[in-house]
Formats: sequence, structure tokens, C-alpha cells
Amino acid sequence: MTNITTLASWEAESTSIPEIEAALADVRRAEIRAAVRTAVLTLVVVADAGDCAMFLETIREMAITHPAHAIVLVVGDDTGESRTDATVEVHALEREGASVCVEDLVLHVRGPMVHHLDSVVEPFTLADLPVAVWLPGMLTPLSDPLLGAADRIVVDSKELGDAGGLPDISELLRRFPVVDLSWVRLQPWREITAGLFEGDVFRPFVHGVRSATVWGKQGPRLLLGGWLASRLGLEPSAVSLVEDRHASIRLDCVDEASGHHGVFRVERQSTERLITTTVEVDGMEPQVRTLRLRDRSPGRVLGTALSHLGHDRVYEQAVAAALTLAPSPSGASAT
Amino acid sequence: MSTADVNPLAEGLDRERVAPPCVLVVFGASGDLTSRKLMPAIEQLALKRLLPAAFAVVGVARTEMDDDDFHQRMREAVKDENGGEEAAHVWDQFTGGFRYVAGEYADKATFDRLKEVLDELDAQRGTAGNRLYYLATPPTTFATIAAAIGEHNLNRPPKDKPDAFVRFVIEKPFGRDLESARELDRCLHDVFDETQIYRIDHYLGKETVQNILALRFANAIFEPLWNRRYIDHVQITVAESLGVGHRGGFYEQAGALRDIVQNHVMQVLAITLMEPPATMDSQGIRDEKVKALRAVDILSPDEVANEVVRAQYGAGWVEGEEVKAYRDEVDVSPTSTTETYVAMRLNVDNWRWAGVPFYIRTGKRLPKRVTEVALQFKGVPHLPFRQKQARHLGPNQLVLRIQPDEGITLRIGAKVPGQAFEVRSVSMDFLYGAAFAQETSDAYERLLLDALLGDPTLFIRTDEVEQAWRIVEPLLTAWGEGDAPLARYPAGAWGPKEADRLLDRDGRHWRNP
Repeated sequence: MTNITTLASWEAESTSIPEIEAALADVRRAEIRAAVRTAVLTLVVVADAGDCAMFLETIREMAITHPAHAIVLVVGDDTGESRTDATVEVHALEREGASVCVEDLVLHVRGPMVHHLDSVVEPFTLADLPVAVWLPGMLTPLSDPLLGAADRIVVDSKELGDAGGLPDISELLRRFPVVDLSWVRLQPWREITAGLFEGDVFRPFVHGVRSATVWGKQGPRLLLGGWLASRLGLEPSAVSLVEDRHASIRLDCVDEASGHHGVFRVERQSTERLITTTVEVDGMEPQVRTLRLRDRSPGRVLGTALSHLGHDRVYEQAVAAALTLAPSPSGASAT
Repeated sequence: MSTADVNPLAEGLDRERVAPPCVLVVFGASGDLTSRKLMPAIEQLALKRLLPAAFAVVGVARTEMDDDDFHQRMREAVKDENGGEEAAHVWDQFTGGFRYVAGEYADKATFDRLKEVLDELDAQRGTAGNRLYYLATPPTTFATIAAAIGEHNLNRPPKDKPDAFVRFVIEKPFGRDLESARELDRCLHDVFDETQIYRIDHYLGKETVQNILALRFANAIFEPLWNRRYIDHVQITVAESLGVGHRGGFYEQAGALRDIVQNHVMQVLAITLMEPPATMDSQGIRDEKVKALRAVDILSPDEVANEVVRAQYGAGWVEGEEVKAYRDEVDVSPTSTTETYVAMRLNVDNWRWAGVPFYIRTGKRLPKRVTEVALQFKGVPHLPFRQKQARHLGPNQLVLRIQPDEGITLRIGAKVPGQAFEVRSVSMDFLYGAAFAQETSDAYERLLLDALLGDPTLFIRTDEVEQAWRIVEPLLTAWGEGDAPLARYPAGAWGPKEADRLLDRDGRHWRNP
């Protein structure tokens, strides 16, 4: 449980960048704790007005392990004169005795400046630290100059429609380093599945996967299916995707050297945060293990997503493979 | 590495810190250390999914139990109140695979049975012949267990798995003096190569001890000052507010010198003294630590008499509670002369530290629990202020706080705001918790995982043990002659007056942490 104490705040309507900069300096002076802020990057969020509070909550939750200087842009229409309304707040976040101070800046912008958001953001970015741009609800056009200001783009394919917006993300990937929160949320499944093949006894089976079945909702199962297909070199016909409430994986394998068959399963069977792994190999007793999923709160997922900057080649290849598994526009499934 | 050795599903995943397949064999499995430290560490590793599917635990102890009894005992040992039902479910399921071998450590049948169980696990669980023997037993059993492992050829990988690893973990104390430490090593080296032996001092598993390395060798601003030219002296404090508790019997035999100075203090000292290693790997760091300890001047009998203070606590008040004298503690002799406090001045004979005294103190029933290294810098060559302007100005000080409130304090001189020009000392505090509010791992958890991964960096090599004993041996010899004075201090004080005089005569004083 994170306790949030607001140390100082300021807000103004129809203000200017210099006024906001002056206000930031004032709120930092107002409280001794605010003088020692911590940040490892600037995070720019493009949000709807209604979602603003939710995103700020996520960012503050992330800040306890991954402190960021947050700029939330609430973008209005481009008509009329350019105008900025701003709110500046400095908070102390405390959890289990640990405390960090962070500040967030919410800018409501409208008028022609909405086409030049990079110029709005630039004065507030932290010197020499990376800038991440989080596009939670929709992707902006590739020509948006805001994307050019980013060292990493954060998206969530789960929020981008049934097919996970994968074709659009695929386009984005050609130009920018992208991290997909949906992909980050699937990391435990990837880690656990990979872990089943550690050691000399089970490793040979990963090189003899004959078929893969992935259960889950459409976006996640497509990503997992794409990941398995790209990592294991499986043809689309060897990957089956099945609608289900929770993600699960089954791999049917053969150890080419011994001829032994093996079935490796990772299953989440209930709403509990527990995963069961089962390994059944010819000549050995079945091995069943229960594992716990770590806390995957939105703040943790965002923090994990921002812990590595740069291209994620495995993700890029998974997306490319997922597109070959995705239902065709006519609605017929490829598998 | 051939393509067949690569796990394509692991690409892009940060799995360097996931243990390889292995059987962890715990000797002393029915004991206190296993329940209090080892099992909670294993539980945390399991919950964090840092243990592989092909992992098993075999408990070995004298207590008669079967596998089911052992499962039950280990389930009860770990009551993770914060983990909730899910953690309990994972641990219950995890312990269900544990095996238990009952028997005497000197009995051949115990190890015959152990060998059978290990072979079964390799076949059933895919643990690939990898073994980590963890001795959670009294030091008197180390040689016996090592010899029995050797006699059963369990000290080497199985013949059909030549690439498997076999490691042997023991906890401090490593001997009672230099000779017994050497004798222990001879016994262990009859069975294991030095690369197979992992000696644990849990202090090295603490995040903040490792942070000293980061502070020194990742920052260009500190290391140039880290020498005799700029540093006046160094104070290392390892203070405990607790008394001996239920460990009176053990403590009577050990005392503060063996319990804290020979291991924890020497490790902190070595990390403070050492030269920058060429690489941050196990050999690079441990080579430099050994070189550093080798440079510590050995005290002559006269120096032991003049530059070492041993003391014992009397009754007093600590943290608002009235506490009894050491001699009134359970299992402590009413005429005990065991030291609960040691202070000393050490000199280091090398290019970097010649002439810089290192003042060390450790004790029980001191006012608070604190471990720190304080480096006091020399004054500026010329102070251009009038005496009145600088009356509150002290020398620069860099304090590395290891526990609690892990962080760094840098004391600097600054102008007091106002019309007058007055300078005074102010402290800049950096709390690790404020910058990285991430949960840190328990020291046992970290070290157990390192041992499983085969990373010996934070374990103590045989020559480190020997060098540490070499430094404390003259004290043991002098005190063993029976006429060493034993000072007294009331519980809740920062030590006896004799310790203050140790610094007074050098024109210095202990800092109050």
C-alpha cells in the first residue's frame, strides 16, 4: 500500500510555459522534501480528460520503484487559439518505510498547438534522461512530432481492439522502439514456459516442438502464439489458438535423440494468481508444480515496461508471426 | 555453446538469475538455522520463480522423521504472513517434493541412503546430477560430513554427468583460531577443490555492503580522495543494541572478537581498504580483498595491550528498557570474562593507507543497532576565515551507513545564510531507500541463489579466512594468557572510557552514529 502525501501544488488556466516553469520552481522550494526529487526518465502520457486521474495513479504507483517525471497531456481539439491549462503537484510516496518524492504536471492543451506537442513537452523534459511517450488508448499518426521526441513508445495492444491493433503496432515498430504493456503482462507465461526446458534432461524437447496450443483472450493468445511460432520456428498450421478466459500453453514435443515424447503445459485454471506447470515425459514420473504470479498491478507493469529502453527484437518477431496467425479481415481464422 | 544447448524460448528474458536444475542437500535439516533462515530463503526464491522446475531439496539430520514429517515441519517453519493463501499454496506444493534422510553424520548408512535418494531424484526430476550441499550444522560436524561425502564419491559429478556441479556451503565460524581454521581447510580440501567450497558470511549478502563497492568504483569523485593524502582516519562501527539473548552458551565460547571482528568487521574493512579490482568478478574482488587484509599491520603484544580495548557490559538501560548485565544472562557464567565489546586501532602498511589509523569498535548492548564506515578527511591546508566565522566548522566526513537507514552522509562546510560570513558543517544525506524504493532481498536468499548459480563473489575464500585470523590471532594469544584487562561499560553506553582514551590520545574522538 502506497501512501501519497501532496507536498505542494499549483494550477492555472490559460497559462504559458514560462509561468509553468516558474510554478515548478516555486513548488520545489515550498517543501524541503520536494527539493530532493528522484527520476530516471521523463514519461509523457497522452490521455483523455476522463482517464487522467487513473493514469496519474498508475504513474505514482510505478514511481515507488521507478520514479519518473510525469507530464500528462490532455489534448483537446485544434480549433480556436492555442491555450494551456496546467496543474503542478509534488508528492511524497511512502511504502513500507521507503519514501520518494515525485512531481507530476498535467497540461490541458488545445488549438493549433496540439499538432506540435513536442514543443510543449520539450521544456519540461529532464536533461540527459530518456523520454518515454505512453499512448494508452489509441495510436497517433506516425507523422506526429511527439513520437520523434520519444526514446520509447509505450502502447497496450489489449486496448487497441480485438486483434490487439497488431497491424498498426507493426507499422509503428518499423520506425520506433515500442514496448507493449500486454506483452509485459505475458512475461510470466513466457518465463515459466521457457523455464520448463532448463537443464540437460528437458532442453532437447524444446528443439522438437511439434505443435503448440495457446488458450486465452484474443490479443494475449495471438501474442503468445506469435512468440512460440517465432522462437520455435513453427508453421502457422502447428499453432492452435483457442478462446478462453485465462492464458494457458501446451507444447507437444519429441526428443529427437531418444525418441521420447513430452507434453509441457502451463495453465492458469482459476482467477487465483496461481499457475500450474505439468511436464509429462516418457519414462519419467509426471512433474506438477504450482507457481505464483507476481503482483502485476498497472504501476508494476508500466515500471517493468520502462526498465529497458531500445528495440525488443523478440517482441518484434512475435508481432510479425502473430500477424500470420491472426484472423483474416473476413473473419476466418488462420488456424 | 551449440544450438542444442540454447533455449530459444529464453531469448529476451532476463533469466540470468534463475538457478539451474539442482538438488539442494541440507545437513542439519531439523535444526534452527534451517527453519529460521534457509527455508524462508528457499520459499522466497520459489515465490519469485527463481528456482527451476527441476529442483529438489533433501534434508539430512539425526532426528528420526519420514518424508511426510519433514514436509510438515518445513511447511510450519515458513509462515509467510504477508504472502497470503497463494504463497501458502505454492509452499505446500513445493515442500511436497522434499525428501528426508535420517541418520548420524558418521554413519555410512546415512550416506548410502543419501546416494540412493540423489540418484532417484536425478532420474525422476531431471536434476542432472547437480548438487549443492548446505551445512546448517555446528562447525564441529563440518569435517565429518565432508569426509563422508568424499567416501561415497558424492563430492564429484556422477560419472554419466561429467558436466554437473557439486558445491559445498558452510557458515561461519571457520575455525576458532588460525590453526583450527587451517585444519578445517585441510579436511575440506581433502574432499573438495577450493572452487567447490562456498563459505558464507551473511554480511556480504547485504545489499549495502555491496553498495560500498558501487560507491567506490562507480564514482570518479570519491576514489581519488580515498587515500592517506586526504583521509585523516577511518572509524568502523558494528553496534548492536541486543544482548546475547538465548545464545549465552555459544557467546561464552566465542566473544565479540570471534563472533563479529574476525568475520563481519574484517569483511567490511577489506572492502574499505581494497584497491579497485580489474573486474568485478569473484577472482578480481577476492584477490584485492586478500591483498588488503595482508597489508594490515599485525599487532605486537605491547600494541595489543595499548591499542585494543576489551570490555563487557553491565546492567543499564537500552532503548527505554532496563537490561541485565552480561554475567546475569542465561547460560553465562557469573564470573565470565568473555568480552562483549572490542575497540582497536589498526594500521595498514601499504602505499594507499600508510599512516591512516583505522579505529574499529563492535559491541553488544550499545545504544542502538548501527553498522557504518566513517571516513574523516583532513582539514583544509589553510582556513581563510576568522576563528569566530568557522567555530562550528568540522572536517569533512563521508559516512557509509550499512544498517539501518542504509545510505551515505557527506558532511561539508556551508555558509550560514545572513549578513555575516559564518561557515558551519551541514550533512547531506542520501538514503538508498529514497532513490530505489525496491524491496531488497534477504542476505540468505541472495547468497543461496549465488551458490546455486555458482557465483562465489560474495563468499569467503580460504586465503581471506586465513588473513582475517592472522589479524586477530595476536589478540587471542594475548587474551589467552589470562591477564588481559576487561573493562566494563553500562548497557546503553557507547563503550568503556578506555575506548574513548584510545582515540583521545591521538587527538580524535569516536563519532556518535
